[in-house]
Amino acid sequence: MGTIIFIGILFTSFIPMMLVMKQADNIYTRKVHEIQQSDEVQAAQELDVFAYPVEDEDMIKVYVENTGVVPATLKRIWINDVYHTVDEVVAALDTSTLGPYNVTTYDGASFNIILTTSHANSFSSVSGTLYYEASGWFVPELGVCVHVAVGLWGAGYFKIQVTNATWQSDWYESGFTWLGDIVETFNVTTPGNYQVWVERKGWFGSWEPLDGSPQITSISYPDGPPIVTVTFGG
Amino acid sequence: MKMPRIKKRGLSPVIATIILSAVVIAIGGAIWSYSQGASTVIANSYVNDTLELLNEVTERFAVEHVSNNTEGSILHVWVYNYGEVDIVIDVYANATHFNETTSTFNSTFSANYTTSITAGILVLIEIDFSSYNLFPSDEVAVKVHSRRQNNAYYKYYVR
Repeated sequence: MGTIIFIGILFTSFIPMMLVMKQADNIYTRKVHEIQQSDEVQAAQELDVFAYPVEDEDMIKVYVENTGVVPATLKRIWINDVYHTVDEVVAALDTSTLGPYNVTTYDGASFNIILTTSHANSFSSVSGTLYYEASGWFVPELGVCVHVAVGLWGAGYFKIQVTNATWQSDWYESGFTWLGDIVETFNVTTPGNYQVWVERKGWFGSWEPLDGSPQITSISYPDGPPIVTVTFGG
Repeated sequence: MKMPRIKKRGLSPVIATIILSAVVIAIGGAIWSYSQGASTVIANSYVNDTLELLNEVTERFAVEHVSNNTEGSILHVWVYNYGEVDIVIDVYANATHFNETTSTFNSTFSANYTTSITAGILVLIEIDFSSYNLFPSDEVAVKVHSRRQNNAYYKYYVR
C-alpha cells in the first residue's frame, strides 16, 4: 500500500512539477535566444541615409541604402524635432526613397534629418544638415574621391585624372610613393558617369595605366552620395 | 479451589489488517494531498520567477530623441520601447549650466517623471524645467530607469 502511495505521489505531484518547471526553462531559453538574435540584428544594421531638398520646393526627400547584411524596418524620419512615421522594410543591399516631406522654410532655416529603425538604431543623414536661405536650398559639392593604395612592389610616381564625355580634369601628379596611400578628390559639376584614370611612371620613365584603370564610377546625387570613392591597388 | 478461567482472545488477522490499512491510507492520503499542494505551489512560484526574469532580460528601450521648447521650461524626451514587454520607467534629467565667465560647469538642476510604455510604442515625456529654464548649450544628462532595473542614457545639449 505504501509503495502504491509513493508511486502515486511520484506520478501525480513530483513528475508534473518537474515537467512544468522544465517547460518554463524551455520558454526562457527560447526567448533569450530570440532576443539575442534581435540584438545581433540590431548590431548588424547599417544604413546610409542621404537627405536632400526637392529643388524649388519646401520639401525634403530621403534616400536610404541598406549597406548591411540584414533587412531593416524603418520606423521614423526625424526632421529636427518632428517625426514622420514610416513603415517600410529595406532588404539587405537594397535602396528606398522616402518622402517628400513638407518643411517650413525661412531665411536661415536648417534641417537635421535622422532615420530610426524598429531596432531603435538611429542614422543621421550623411549629407549633413540641410540649409535654406532666401535664395533657396544649399546643395553640396559633387566629387570623385580617388584612393590609390601603394604596396611594397608598387612604388613610384602616380598621376590621376577624372573624365566624362564632355569634360576632363587636370592631371594630379603625386610625389614618389611607397607603402602609402594617395587620396585626391576631384570636384565635378554634374551627376553622371565618370572615368577615373590612374597611371604609374614605369622603370623607363614612361607612364603606364595601373591595373584596373580606367574605372567607371557614377554619381547619382541626390539618389546617392554627393561624393563617390574609387579605390585602386598600386 | 479452582480459579475461574478467564477467556483471552486477540484481534483476528482480518481486523488487524483492516485497521493497519486504514492507518496507512489515512497517513498516505494526507502526505499525497500535501505533496500535490506543495508541488503546485513550488511549480507556480518557479514559473512566475522565471517569467519575471525573462521579462527583465528581454525588455528593450532607448531614448530616441530629446529636445526642448523655445522658453527652455520643458524638456521633451521620446522613449521608444522596442522590446516585447510593457515597461514602467522613471526618467531623470540633470541639467548642467556652463558658466562662460568662469569656464566652469555649475548650477545643476534635476527633475524626474514616471510613466509606463506599451511594447512597440514611442512615448513623449515632458519634464518640467520651469523653475530652472534651460539655457542654450546647457548639458542635460537623461537617464531612463525601468522598474526591472534596466537603464538607458542620453546626453543632450540645449539648442
